Amino acid sequence: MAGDAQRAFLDAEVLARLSRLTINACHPMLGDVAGPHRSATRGASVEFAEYRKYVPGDDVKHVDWRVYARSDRFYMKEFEADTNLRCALVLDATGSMAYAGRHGRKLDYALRLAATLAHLLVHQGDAVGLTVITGRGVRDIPPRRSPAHLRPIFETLAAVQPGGAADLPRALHDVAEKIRRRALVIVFSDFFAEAAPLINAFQHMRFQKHDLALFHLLDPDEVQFDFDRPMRFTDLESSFQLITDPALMAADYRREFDAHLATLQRGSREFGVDYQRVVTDHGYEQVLTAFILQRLRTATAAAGGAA
Amino acid sequence: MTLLQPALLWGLGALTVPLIIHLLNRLRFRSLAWGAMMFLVRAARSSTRRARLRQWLILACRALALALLAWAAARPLAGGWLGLTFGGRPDTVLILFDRSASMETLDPRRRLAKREEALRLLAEAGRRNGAGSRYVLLDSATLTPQALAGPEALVGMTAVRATDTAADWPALFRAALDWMLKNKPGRTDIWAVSDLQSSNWLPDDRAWGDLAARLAGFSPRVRVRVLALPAVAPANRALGLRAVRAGHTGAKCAVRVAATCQQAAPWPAKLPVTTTLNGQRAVVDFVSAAARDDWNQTLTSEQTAGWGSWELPADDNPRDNQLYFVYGGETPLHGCVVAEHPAAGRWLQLAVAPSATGARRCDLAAPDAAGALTAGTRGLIVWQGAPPAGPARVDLNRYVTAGGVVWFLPPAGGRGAPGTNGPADFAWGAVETAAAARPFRVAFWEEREGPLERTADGRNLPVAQLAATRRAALHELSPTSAVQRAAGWVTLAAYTDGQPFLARRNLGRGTFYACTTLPLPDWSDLDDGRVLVPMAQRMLEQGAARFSKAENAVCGEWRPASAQDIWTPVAPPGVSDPLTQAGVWHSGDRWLALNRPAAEDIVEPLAPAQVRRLLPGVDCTVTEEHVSAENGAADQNEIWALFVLLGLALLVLEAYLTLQEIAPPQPAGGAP
Repeated sequence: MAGDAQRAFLDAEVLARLSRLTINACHPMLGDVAGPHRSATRGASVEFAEYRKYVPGDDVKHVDWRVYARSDRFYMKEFEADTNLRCALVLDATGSMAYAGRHGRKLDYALRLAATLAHLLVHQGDAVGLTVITGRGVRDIPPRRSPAHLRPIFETLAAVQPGGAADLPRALHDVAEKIRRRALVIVFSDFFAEAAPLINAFQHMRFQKHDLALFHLLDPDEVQFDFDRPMRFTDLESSFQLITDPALMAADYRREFDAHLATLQRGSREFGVDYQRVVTDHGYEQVLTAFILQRLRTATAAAGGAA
Repeated sequence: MTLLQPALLWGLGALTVPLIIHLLNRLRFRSLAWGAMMFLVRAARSSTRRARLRQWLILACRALALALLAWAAARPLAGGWLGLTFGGRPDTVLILFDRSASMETLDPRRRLAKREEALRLLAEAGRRNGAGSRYVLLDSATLTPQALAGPEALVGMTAVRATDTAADWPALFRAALDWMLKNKPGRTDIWAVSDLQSSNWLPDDRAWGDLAARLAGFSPRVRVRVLALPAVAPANRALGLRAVRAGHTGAKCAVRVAATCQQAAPWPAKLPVTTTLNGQRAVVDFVSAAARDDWNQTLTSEQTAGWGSWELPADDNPRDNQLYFVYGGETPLHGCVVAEHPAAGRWLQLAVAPSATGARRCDLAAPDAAGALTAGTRGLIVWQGAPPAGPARVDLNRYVTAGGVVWFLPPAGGRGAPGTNGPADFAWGAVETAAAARPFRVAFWEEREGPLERTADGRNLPVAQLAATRRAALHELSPTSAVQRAAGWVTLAAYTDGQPFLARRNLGRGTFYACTTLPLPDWSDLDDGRVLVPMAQRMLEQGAARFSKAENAVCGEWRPASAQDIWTPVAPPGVSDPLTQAGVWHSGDRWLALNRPAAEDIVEPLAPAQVRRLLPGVDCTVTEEHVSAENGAADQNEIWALFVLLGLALLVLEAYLTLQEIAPPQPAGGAP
């Protein structure tokens, strides 16, 4: 079962190519074990972090005696700690994610992204958990770093049935509260909800010191809205129907749509959220490569700034 | 606004096409499960009003464009600046003006004579047309072109005064074409003013085909605008003279006058008719009960020659209420028979002059002596046999043109010699023999005038009892000129199968007659004289009338025999021109009474479509008077171009609105 699910989501060649890259956290993490990520605490790595004044109780082996010789003061030499991270993959599986254009369902695209990232993170020693938000409720799998943990994750992903409506901002708030320590939170959603509550949720995430990354999944039809005959639109999350000539409202639709995207992008930039807009006619490997490289650049820059 | 092709307004049904397409499109929607409904709902909320307005505008543009195109197809006319702007101003306007007696009929609403109403409308049209066009008048009475400063100048002109003549519209158009060929004007409009009286337009005249072809082929293009005043005055009565016979009893003279009273909508009435005989007036009551009443009266006068008149009470056309007559003087009733068949010749001689005594005389002559026949005071020449050719033909033509009457009968032996050069453009064809016991019968004949008209006391000749066992075909030869075409043979009596029994062709002041059977026992029972004698006598009287000292003629057709004759008006007061005005005239010991042509009393206007059909291929518009009076449509022009332009403008606007709607979408974003 897990094998089938794995084969459905994962492409071995893509994984082989992407596994050469490390998925970095852009912010310091608090992990359980040593790992490739910068920790929020000082540790015993060889990379110097900073000096601080000696306080009674400190281990004298970290006193920098050379500085004491020069200044007659005790300074403690601290080093960066390297840790693993805990990653929470949050998948929006509400009805709107089931929209299938010419390039398939947005949900399927999101499943491929989530599964690939889960595989890569686990294999670089990080813990990965999964939260699936549907109209019928929220399904949680806590983060673990064991490769065997991928099995329930893939099974859960394989079993996802999109449908219904959910309060996405509320669900994100819950996720932010539920993860106690800093974590990398990656959300896969079309974010078809009011922008302000969503940005509040992002802010909450960041307040909790989580490193938040968003994959904003959009179908080309939703972006372009280019229909040439009257249509009956049926809402995927409710039974609401609207019969209209798309040509009549295309301009207004695009204006509303673009304004929503711009608001989300602005909110993400304001709170340091890694925002990735993904149109499903692009290959997911490209999208993930760009995502990983961008995070690498951000992490490197953050580390340089701290030194 | 007037429409030339109102039937095409059915095209307005095309208005529903955009609506139907719109509704069909609404029904042809596609279903789609959609995720981004929140944006769609917001867009629908904000764009509904604007989009609906635009949609309605597009729909209105499409529907209006179709309506305008349908309207343009119906060829609208407009006067005033609209018509002038989009119809263009002609270089020359030829005004063909109907001065016939029937144009004096009062308009039932305006109480103005049609002629005066036409002058008013023309003046109005001239004002609208503005300066820049040259105006030329051609009136029906003189056919003489006269340059005008403008239609306003028509009022008060002698050339547009009332006459007692008939109008000859083919001749008017022919005169207009002749003027155009001679003067070579630029773009020309012909404004024809008429009451569309059928007897004036002569719709059966074959000259119309030639005229239409010449007008259609004229360069630059000629437009014909007919201002029609066809309103019929139902209360109008017209009085016409049928015959005058004068008999002398001792020193007194009994004058028997036969008149006809016609009216469009008959109703019984006792009419006080004022009769005048040599200035003595009397009032006689006549009963008018039918559309046509024949009235007879015998008056006695001390004078052996004189004049008289009858006058009806005033009605809707004061011009047709009078008749004039003159009587008196001995008229030499001399005839001549040229016959190849002796028996037929003898019967015909007896018919012309039943008694060798008295004023009537008839000679028998051989065909080769025809040259001498036309001399003297012979009023009638009866020609039985093949029509003459060569000099005899020329002599007969000249004789008839001067007012004589020639009566042709077929050769007794069958088909005659080819008559290609015959004097009346006809030839005798094969002789047809009726089946046993089924002789040829005459089913139709002209009983109102001509040789077969009713008797003075109103009784019909026994033409229906005539039985012919043999008859010859009458072939009309191709005329060689437009004049000949215009004056072709007219059937006065026809057999049951439509073949002519008696036909007539007028030439100049005289007439040719042709009868297709003979007064011989093996041809017909014409020899019993009941029909033959009145026919012959009437033809003789008609031909001899020119030698009479008292001539009752038709105004417009009468021409003075000599330019030196001076005719003095006797009645009514104020008349001055015997060529155009009815009345009594006097010259030396001769009397002349002129009356309106009988056809002027028959009110049968053509329909506008009939007039248009006379000029196929010509840009011809017939505008009825009631429209003109209200809208000043005398100078109406076609403005379909305006409608087409408006329609195209609406289609451009529709295209702009539509293209705005389907502007290519701007990409909202993409992959990083």
